[in-house]
Amino acid sequence: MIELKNVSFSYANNCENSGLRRIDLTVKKGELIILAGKSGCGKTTLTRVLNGLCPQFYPGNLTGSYSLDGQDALKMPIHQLGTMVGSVFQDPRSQFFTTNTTDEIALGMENIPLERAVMQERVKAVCAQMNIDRLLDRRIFPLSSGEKQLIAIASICAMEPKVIVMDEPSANLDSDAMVRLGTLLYRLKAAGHTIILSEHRFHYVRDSFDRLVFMENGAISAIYDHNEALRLKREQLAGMGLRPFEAPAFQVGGAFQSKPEDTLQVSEISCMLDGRQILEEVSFSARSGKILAIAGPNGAGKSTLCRTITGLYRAMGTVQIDGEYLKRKKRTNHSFFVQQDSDYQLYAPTVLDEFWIGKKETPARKETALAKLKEMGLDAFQNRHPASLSGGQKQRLLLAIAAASSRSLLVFDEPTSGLDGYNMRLTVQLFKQLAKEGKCLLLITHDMDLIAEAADCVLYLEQGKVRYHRNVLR
Amino acid sequence: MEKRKQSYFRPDPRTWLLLCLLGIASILLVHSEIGGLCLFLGCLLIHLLTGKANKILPYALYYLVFYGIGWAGVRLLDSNVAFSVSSMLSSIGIVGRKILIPLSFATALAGEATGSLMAALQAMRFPKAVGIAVAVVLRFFPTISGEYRAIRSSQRFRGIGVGVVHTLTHLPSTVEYILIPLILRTTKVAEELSASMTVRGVRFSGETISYRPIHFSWKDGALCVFMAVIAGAVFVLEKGGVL
Amino acid sequence: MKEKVLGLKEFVIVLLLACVETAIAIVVAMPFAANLQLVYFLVPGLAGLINGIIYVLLIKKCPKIGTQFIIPMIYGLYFLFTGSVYVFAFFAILAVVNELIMLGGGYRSKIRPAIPHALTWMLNSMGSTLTMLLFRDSLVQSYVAMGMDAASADAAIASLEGFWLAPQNIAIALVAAAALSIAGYALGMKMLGKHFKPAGVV
Repeated sequence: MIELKNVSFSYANNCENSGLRRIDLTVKKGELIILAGKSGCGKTTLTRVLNGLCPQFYPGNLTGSYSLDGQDALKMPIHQLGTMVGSVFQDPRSQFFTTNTTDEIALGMENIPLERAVMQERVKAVCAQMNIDRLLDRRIFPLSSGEKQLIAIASICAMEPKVIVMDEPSANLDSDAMVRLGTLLYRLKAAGHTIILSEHRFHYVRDSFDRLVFMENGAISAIYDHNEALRLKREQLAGMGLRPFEAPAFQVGGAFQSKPEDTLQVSEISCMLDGRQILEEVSFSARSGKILAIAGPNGAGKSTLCRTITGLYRAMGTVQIDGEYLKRKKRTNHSFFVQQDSDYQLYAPTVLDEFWIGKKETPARKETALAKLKEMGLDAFQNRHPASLSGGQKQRLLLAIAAASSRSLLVFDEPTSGLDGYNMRLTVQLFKQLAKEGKCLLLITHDMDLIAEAADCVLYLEQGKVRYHRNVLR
Repeated sequence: MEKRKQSYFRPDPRTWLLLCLLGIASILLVHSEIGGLCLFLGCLLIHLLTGKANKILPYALYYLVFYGIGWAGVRLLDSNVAFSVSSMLSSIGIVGRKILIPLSFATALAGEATGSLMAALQAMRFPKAVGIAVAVVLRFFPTISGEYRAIRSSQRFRGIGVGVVHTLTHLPSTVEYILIPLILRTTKVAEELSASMTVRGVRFSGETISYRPIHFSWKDGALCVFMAVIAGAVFVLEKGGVL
Repeated sequence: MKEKVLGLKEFVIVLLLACVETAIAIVVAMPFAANLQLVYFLVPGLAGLINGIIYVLLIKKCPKIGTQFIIPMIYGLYFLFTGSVYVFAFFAILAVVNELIMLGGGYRSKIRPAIPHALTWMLNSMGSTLTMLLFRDSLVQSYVAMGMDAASADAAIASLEGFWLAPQNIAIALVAAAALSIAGYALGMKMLGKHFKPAGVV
């Protein structure tokens, strides 16, 4: 189906150094291939070559040959290539074009263009296959990330492409949505689609993938078939900068015993948003020097809880930090909340300047900042613009800023969702270091790898209520 | 029976566009208070007939609020207090109520499914780029306030623009720290959005077949005639000195 | 990348950032909406000052035919849907004028790109005048309906018109809008070096 011979690519603006070097890859019809490797290894660029975005949308220099189903793909205009190679991207929020789900699913077909009757039939068929009838004819904005991602996939499947290319489709999904995505990919593969999946977390396709292509520095270093890949040991995968196929085993043990001296004491928090009860009498406590993971399905109220604790939302109930009952605004001054999207959280012209934004630059602050940057392995980037850093580096910079803020309560929302194994482990080490320094850490997360490796206890929320709050046994 | 029929009637996007243009023309031609009220009531009736009964209360409230602002402005103006403020208040109150009419139709137009809008524009022989632009603007505009809020809530933990006094004393830097991430984020959304459009074949040239059939029925025509008749009647009555 | 006209990617970038410019212009006006002098003399310039940052990014990222057209058109559409059809017409004309100004290597010049930006916000300052005058008769009638006597209503409108149309006020409004927008352009150039280039956006 796909034959890449000696393909090299470099971006014209040279900003992104993740070009490709001498890629040789043959993919048979109906195969499910995982592209794996550390961030910046060229996975995304390879998917862009396959769907024609490189060099037709992201200009650059492409050499070598790419044949698709016997045709020279490099000579096809991108819209024609798009009908053969469907693409799903990482961020479901920025990839929809219309405001209505049905329009979004039909968009690709309208541009081929297909007859209206055919389009109607295919929309029906795709919705039946993916079990998303309930999502038809709805506004896209209020949908969850997982639902938006399903619509994006449906839109591609409706075009009936020969190949489907996905660039980290699970990065913004919770565990349930990921399992559903895994099932869907299995069905698509069974229906004869060729699938290329660029991913950091691949346990959801553990049973259905055919080969794992491991990339480093823009080149393919190794290709493993299904069994060989599953035989790779945890240490080997860690050495390659990859995440394991299965989350490390951990168990939750006895209930967490609250003590009066706990840094954070949350009592009977209830919160209504848009006329809906999001949190109902949630009480728990968290201790300095410990890492508490807050888990639960989407919409369980995890983010709302943390926003209330840190003073972003109003709610009923009380919050004590360091033994003091604090009002909403004071809570914001005593805590630090790192949100999921780093784009909203970095403002300064250089990495170093980020540390005294809103304050004065003093020698003491500079010393702390430099020390923190060194701890996070970012000292070489101190004069770079924060927006030019990679996702993992931005995440570590925010960690450094949180650590330097001298606040006792640090909250992180999905800190590792888009990170590769290497960056994930690095982040875990840094969390542990912060806990050792006496900080109280709350992590809102779906990432089982993170919970298994970092958390001391887990608070599980469901429908706005605490299901359990237990210690993690290792 | 009739209620059921009403709730099923969804006007063609071109109807909303026509109504919007009729609304603009009517507020420019009709000058009296009572005439304006008649137009507004006609506009509410159209929303009611097209199954948008839930919009009537908010629009009526806006109307009353603007009336209040205008009334206060006129009182102040009459008693010669602070001309620059009172004249603005009265203008906002009076013009605001008029603008509600075309704006309510424009809002209904914006609420149409993107596919229908693009099909309507195509049927009106607009270039394809216009349809793409309308779709992109409608899809992006509602997200700006969300992006802004996300930036502001993150800034509170960094001590940027906390409280009115701090914001005013550090206004330039606060504006910079809001604007730069907003612009960078918008640029990123624009690139990702256009990439996802490109791979699904959206382009300026080439034929497109719309998934949604659009049809300008006699009911659509009747709605437009209804609005035109109200505007015309009010205008004539005003000219005749009745209103 | 050698094309002279916007491609789809640049088209979307310009559209979205033009939306942000429009949103900023609306938000900037809000705190000052109740004061005649501020709305006339300060608000358009202030919008031009802040939007200068976005404008510079746009012309550096998308220096092609279409960019100058889209910015005033999107802002003009906002006026259209709020009933000011003439203001929209003027913005539509300005959209074409701005494109013409930049033809023939305008984007290579350091100074010429400031002109369309300044013109946009100067027209904005005149736009409020136009909107007000379009509804002159309505204002008189409403004043009377709300309990003013006809003579004082006419007098109030006359002083209102006197304010909007006084040559010295028009001059102040235009000069203020031009000066602040040009300052905005300069600010944009500064931000280009401070943020956008190091961030790798341009």
